[in-house]
Amino acid sequence: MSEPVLRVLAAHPPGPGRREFLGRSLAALAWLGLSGCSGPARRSLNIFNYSNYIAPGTVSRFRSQTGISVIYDEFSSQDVLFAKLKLGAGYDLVVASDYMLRRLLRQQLLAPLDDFANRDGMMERFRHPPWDPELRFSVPYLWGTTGIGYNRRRVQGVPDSWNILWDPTYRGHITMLDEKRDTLGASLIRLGHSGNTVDRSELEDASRALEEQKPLVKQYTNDYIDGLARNEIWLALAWSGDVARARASNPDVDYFLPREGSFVFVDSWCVPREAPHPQEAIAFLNYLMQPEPLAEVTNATGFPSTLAKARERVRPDLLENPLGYPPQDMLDRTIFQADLGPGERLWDQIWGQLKFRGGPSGPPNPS
Amino acid sequence: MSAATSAPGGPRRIASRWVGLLLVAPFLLYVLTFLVLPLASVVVLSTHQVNDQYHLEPAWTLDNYQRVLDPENLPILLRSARYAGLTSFFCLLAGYPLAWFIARHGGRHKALLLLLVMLPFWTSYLVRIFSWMTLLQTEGLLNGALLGLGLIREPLSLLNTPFSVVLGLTYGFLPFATLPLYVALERLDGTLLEAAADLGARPATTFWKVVFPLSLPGVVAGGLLTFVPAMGDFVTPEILGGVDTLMIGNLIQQQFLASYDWPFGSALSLVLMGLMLVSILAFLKLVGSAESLA
Amino acid sequence: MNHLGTGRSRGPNWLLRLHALAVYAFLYAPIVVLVVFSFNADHRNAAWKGFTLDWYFRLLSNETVHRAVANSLKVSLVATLVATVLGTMAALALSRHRFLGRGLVGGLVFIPLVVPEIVMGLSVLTFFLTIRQPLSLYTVMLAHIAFCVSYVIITVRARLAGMDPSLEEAAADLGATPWETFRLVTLPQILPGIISGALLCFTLSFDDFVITFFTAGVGANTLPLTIHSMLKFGVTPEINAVSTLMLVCTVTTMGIYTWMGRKRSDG
Repeated sequence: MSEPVLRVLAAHPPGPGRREFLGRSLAALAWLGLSGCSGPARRSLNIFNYSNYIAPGTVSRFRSQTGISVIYDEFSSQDVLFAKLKLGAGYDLVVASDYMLRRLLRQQLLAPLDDFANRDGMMERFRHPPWDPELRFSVPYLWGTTGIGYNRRRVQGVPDSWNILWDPTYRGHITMLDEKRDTLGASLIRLGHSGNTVDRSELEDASRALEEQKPLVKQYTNDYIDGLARNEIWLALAWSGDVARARASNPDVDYFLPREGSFVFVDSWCVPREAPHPQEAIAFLNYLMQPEPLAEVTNATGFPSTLAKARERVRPDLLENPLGYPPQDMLDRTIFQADLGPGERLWDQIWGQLKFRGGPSGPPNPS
Repeated sequence: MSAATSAPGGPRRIASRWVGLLLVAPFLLYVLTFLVLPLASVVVLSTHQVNDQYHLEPAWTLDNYQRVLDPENLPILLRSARYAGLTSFFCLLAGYPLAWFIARHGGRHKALLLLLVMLPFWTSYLVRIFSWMTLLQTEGLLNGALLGLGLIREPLSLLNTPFSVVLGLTYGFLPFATLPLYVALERLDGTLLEAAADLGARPATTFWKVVFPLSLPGVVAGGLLTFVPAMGDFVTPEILGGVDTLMIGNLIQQQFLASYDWPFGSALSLVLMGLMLVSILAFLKLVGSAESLA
Repeated sequence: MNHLGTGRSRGPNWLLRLHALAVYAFLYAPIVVLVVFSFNADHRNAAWKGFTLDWYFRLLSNETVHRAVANSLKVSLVATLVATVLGTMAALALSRHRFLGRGLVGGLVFIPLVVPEIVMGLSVLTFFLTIRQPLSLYTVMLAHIAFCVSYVIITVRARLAGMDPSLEEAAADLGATPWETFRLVTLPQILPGIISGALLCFTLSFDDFVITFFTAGVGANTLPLTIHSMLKFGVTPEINAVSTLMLVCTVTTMGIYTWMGRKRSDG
């Protein structure tokens, strides 16, 4: 078996690249030697957050105010966060979504935040979340709703129901979230079930409806902002702040909360139990959880913060749209995604089947 | 001096043995620690089970393998094999004439032409895939060009289809086919072709009877080096794919990152590896016997 | 002398040329797009909105990208260095010496070539998990060396296979010590193989996403990881700018090298 492979690799990349490589290596090695040795132990902080989930200047301003050096890493989904926390990646402060928070708490992966006192001024809705009623382990940060982002020029009329995602007119221009709780949840709510059910037959109902919807769906993805902005996606099961972002570059994009009801979520800061620098983490929270920095975050990300006072400094276009701060009657129709307990495995199973069950498998056919 | 004059099998031979072991020891230790042991830990993990609290429990069970064999997983396996096969096919189809062109007609620009095949690889794969999205989207450059030329009336939906996945994979692995093909064709003795022509063989006959069999090792290497990575890829179908184009790599990734069913993910990985090894060996054997016949 | 092939006298036929042109166009279409959009005034890589150098200026102050490039360089340089040394040694052993377990070692070399990247990434991850080794930039390096080393071995072995062993024997017969033989005879001959093996390592390691994704710890985001985390909100043209700059660097150094080579051969 080695013969052919040997032949492949006998193909030496032709000459010119080599010198370039050597030159590059030498220069970089010198630089590596310089940067390899770090100075005396300074106060530092390792943050792990969603990408683009903070204002551009937040971290650098904190750094210059406190002298604490910050390593700021970003992830694209909660799954990555969970895997890295389980492995003990060494983060001091992470942003966890509500359902993930619950799982982290259940696994006792979080440290109590007793030193952080600034919980006044938090919006009532987020003061006593079901997963952490006294907010001992988490500081609610940004929140939003699950709804439908759509393109006003491509979608007829003013949609108000989940049913539009099942409308064959829009075949190939619909995306659903690659999150079991939201996609299965939306399907459940549309069918009149609870979005938090653990009843097998209800879940199978919802899954069947999604199976029927599949031919219309372009992708199960959480990366739809660009697609909405480029008119590539016309209807997306989406999170409000993301849609606000797409709207910022494409005014045709709009958002609504279906009349059948939907989900509200909140992402919270928390400190892993084995965090090496918990003190610095608290210092960062004390700095960030103030009206001014939070309003900056909202203006940059499109997601409203949990601090009621921050609202005064938010961009007006975010205030007047359900995207930013939905009106109360709309909010009343939303629920938190509840703890499913052992039922979560059932959700995983049904979701996995839905996502990977082969549709009609034909030859590649761009249609 | 004395070593040099001693008979074969003498001290020099024995010394060579020790030098050999010494030379290979660091590699061996390294690979055993960071490649073989990890693969072994996957084997152990595949016998575990996940409880309702998402904790791993040793169960010493083969259940996970049974789940892999569930007929429900068959379509995705077949789909992956189909996409990977198509990828290999298109890579060879595009790479063979190109390699021929470079090897036989490249002249003094050979090195440059070959380098131009490699150059895109010094740009991040992800960035290049995003560029493809710009090219392929409904209001993208390709549709714009086709509409402008009047070749189509309605923009085509090219993204998130099997087409875009196979295109992305082909794009990503094309050099892995081109390089071995180049090596095989470069070594080809030109006098053979002349002889065939002198004997009155038509170009097509010369190609199929002389050139192709001789370049077969390159074809096999190119095919395998594109098939194997394409079969395990999950980034391309994730970005360029749609709802019905997910591949086995996505299923594995789902187990590890979304469902937290690491034991099942491990079993899937191992079965995939086993299948791959068996098919590679079978394929090589087949080609080997074909070669010896020729 | 083996350029007496059929086509040569008539020149490559136009179909072959056209095909080559088409393949190059296919390879470079996305590259052209990415370079062009690095000068685009709009922040989405969607439509042309006018020329700007803004993204290049912004790059100067983008710490995330700086760190990512630095991390990528660190990882791929260390991985290349270690893998090249380990791999060359092993290649020498495999080609020039007989020892116990030689066949087994020869088989081990091919693991990274047949194991899908995702499986390799996951296995290293579960291994680190099992031995409770926290993830960091070093775990990325460890994993990269493991998959890079095989490519060095295979490349160097191929070179050794094409080399006449009688030269080494002659050197030994003339009284050279094994080290002298290696340094003066073997090494100069296999150097191109070593260099191309190293280059292959560097390329594979620098652009690796999958294995890095599973093994990176705090502060260890490499360029491909950073780009991937931008997927959600759309990749900013700053990434196009970085890529363009790196492309320019590569092409320039290659140009200089070719020019120097030509000058040398002229003189």
